[in-house]
Amino acid sequence: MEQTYVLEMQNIVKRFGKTLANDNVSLRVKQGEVHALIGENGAGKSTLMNILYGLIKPDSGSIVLQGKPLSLSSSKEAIKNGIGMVHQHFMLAPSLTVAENIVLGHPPTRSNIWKPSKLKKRLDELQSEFNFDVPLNAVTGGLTVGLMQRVEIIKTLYRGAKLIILDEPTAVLTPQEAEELFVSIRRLTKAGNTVIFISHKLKEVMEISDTITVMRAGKVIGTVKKEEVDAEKLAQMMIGRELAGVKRADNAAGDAMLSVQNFKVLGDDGLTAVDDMSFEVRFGEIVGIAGVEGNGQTELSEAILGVRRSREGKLFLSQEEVTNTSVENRLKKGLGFIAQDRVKEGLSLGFSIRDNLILKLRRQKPVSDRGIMHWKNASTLSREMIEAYSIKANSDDETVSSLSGGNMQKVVVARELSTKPKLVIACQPTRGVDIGASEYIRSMLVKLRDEGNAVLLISADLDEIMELSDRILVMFEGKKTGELLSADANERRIGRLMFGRNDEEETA
Amino acid sequence: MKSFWKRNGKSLVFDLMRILVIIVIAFLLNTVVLLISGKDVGLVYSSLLRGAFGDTYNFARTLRWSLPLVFTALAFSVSERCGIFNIGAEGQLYLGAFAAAWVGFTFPNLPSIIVIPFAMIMAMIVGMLWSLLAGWLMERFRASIIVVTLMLNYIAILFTEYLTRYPFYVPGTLGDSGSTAYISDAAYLTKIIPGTNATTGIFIALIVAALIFFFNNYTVAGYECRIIGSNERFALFSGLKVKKRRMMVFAISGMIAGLGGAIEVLGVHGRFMVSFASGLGFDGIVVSLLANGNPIAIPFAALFMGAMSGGSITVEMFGNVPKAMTDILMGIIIMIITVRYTPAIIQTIKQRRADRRAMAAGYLGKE
Repeated sequence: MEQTYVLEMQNIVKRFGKTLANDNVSLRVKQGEVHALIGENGAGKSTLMNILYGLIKPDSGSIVLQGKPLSLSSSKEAIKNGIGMVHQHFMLAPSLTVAENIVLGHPPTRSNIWKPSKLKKRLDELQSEFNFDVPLNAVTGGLTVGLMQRVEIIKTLYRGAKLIILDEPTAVLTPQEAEELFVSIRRLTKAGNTVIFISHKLKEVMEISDTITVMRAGKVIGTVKKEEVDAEKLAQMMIGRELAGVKRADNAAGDAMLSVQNFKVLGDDGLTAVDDMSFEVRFGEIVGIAGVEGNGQTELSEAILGVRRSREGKLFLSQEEVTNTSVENRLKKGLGFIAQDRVKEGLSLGFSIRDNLILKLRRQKPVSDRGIMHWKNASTLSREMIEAYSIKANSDDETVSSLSGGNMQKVVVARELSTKPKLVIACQPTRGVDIGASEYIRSMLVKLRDEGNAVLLISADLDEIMELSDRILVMFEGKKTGELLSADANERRIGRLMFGRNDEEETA
Repeated sequence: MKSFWKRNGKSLVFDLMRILVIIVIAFLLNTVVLLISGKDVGLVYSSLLRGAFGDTYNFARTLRWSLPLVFTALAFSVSERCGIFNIGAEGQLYLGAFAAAWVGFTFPNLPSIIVIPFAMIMAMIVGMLWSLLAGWLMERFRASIIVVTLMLNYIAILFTEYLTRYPFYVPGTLGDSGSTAYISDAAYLTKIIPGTNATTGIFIALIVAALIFFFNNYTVAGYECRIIGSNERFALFSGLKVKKRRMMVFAISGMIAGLGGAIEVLGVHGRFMVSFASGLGFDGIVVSLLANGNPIAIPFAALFMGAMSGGSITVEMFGNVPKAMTDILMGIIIMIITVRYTPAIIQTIKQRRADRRAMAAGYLGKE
């Protein structure tokens, strides 16, 4: 049986400055299916969806919705044509009730007269139609994230959406909430709606979708039926090569390079941010710290570096106590630090790449000699580093602020590795960084490990943690809620620990 | 040498051009004011120019007024570069001047070769200590450095007045003159133009400017200061000793200002006089801002300011315009400096030019 396509996007091209975000992209979606759109960050998924939602105008290409050509100049028009989008970040007013949020901007009025009874009737209909159960009169701010997401979905339905775009909907959900979302999605499609599901988590894509379109570097790599593929095949399509993961040597971990004992650290607000934290990072291993952001990871990393004081506990670098010593002393002991916010903590934006690259080498020959800078040597060295880390720049004299996020991060990484550190603390090392640079940075971290150094990886990206780490610690509200070998780790287990739930619950 | 020019030369040329542009705009605006009030613009400006550079004597006067501004401007710029808005130069200059005068009149039998360096070193030490006090207050109590240095200026100025009027009171020929005794003849700086106030102090000022230039651009510590000034948090995360560097900068700044006070006493006044240097600190800030903090551009900016002070007298005498005209000029200049829009325009032009160059070289779009 040949189904008709509800949506056909043909030969979409969109260019942002130098980069081609969508390169002749075509997407066909059938009525009533869950169509997953997958690809790595920067593959062009969001651009394509923003074009469909009328937020971005394509340079060329056409959109056909239910057989009719469509030209969108705003999201309002998209909504009018039955396209709805749920963004990753919810667009809800926390102080209003659920019902008020749903009708916000589109009140069911005639001649501007507010008719609560009519509204309630319509919303009740919607709820029963899709078997939703959202407390309409509750204040939105008090809802759980999962419920808020459902409110967003009802909102699009209320506005008459037949085609709903979900932009990485599970990114903010616990694995359990994600399950509930999938139930809702199935109900939507059963009722004849179509869902475009954006994700880069392969497991859930395999679970929920009927058809999958893979994008890479602005192009569609292929559209496949779920039955025809498996997760490995998808990953291969996404990344464009055999999925070997990041290759790592089979080396056994050695002695402890970093040892944290009963650490207690206060946050900026004076409250305990890290509580009784103990762990080790040994030579030749990557230890990942997983957790929802804001659970003490930042404070922990700052206390290890020494820019934040630890109130209790001890810190050892290569078995030597450094608890109350200066940052400089810790760096001398072989510590490298990739700060989580490269703009605030990792770079001097207005200065040249050279100034930013050689900072850690400033007291060493040939960059300086007896306190005098040798800029010529510094320049030569910077150019070598630019070359070695393939930083895209015109010269070492260019200001860092003119670089892209990925290249800025490469400057940070190049500098921090320039001292040949024995321990690198990498905080969100690939945040806001394009695929190429992310991969490069990850491979650098693994290379460090393979060469027998210690790496402490702090990341909110669970996939990154699971891909790179030998051991994974999970932090929740400043405490270590679990520690597992990466062989034993899976998203569910870590997900539970990330919300402080006991590891054993699941098996029980 | 090529790299030297590339890094420092370009910015020096840029900073000098910037000074010129600002001055030209200020003069254009001032011309409008003069025209509206019906003055003879040609006469006013010719007498200003004559008063500033007309003859040897006038030129010497311009130099004399530029000189202290080089010191106070350098003192300000060196801290500003490290992220400290330190306006304490005036107080440090007063204390330095008093210390130099004290050496000059207390040791009358020392030869020049000893007494002059001695006086200068004392002035630098006193200026440094006063500056370090401000730095300590800032670091220890997280006090606002602007408020601290401003208040310490008052304390320093009034303290030197107290010293002059009480412990070191001399019933001078003019009665209560508010001055200390004169320094010994040996303590005077040599005049490079006889009969004027242009002394060898000029060379000292230029040497200090060169030293600061070297410190800023060619020492590890100067590089560290620049990083601290641009992003303190980054500096902390990179293990730089921010406090230590800041205190060092306070010390350097205080020494420069103190030395400036000594040059005033040893070169011009020959004694310490109450409130002798009113406003030098703040004019120094203007000079530094005008020169974009560049130690090589500072003497040029100071020369302009000195010319304004020198020329203002002849403007009043021959130009039929009150001396206050130069104050208006100054005001306009400060306004232009404060409006950072001017450099922003130049920046975009520079950026466009760089882009075009890059494009020509095939860098952009290779992606």
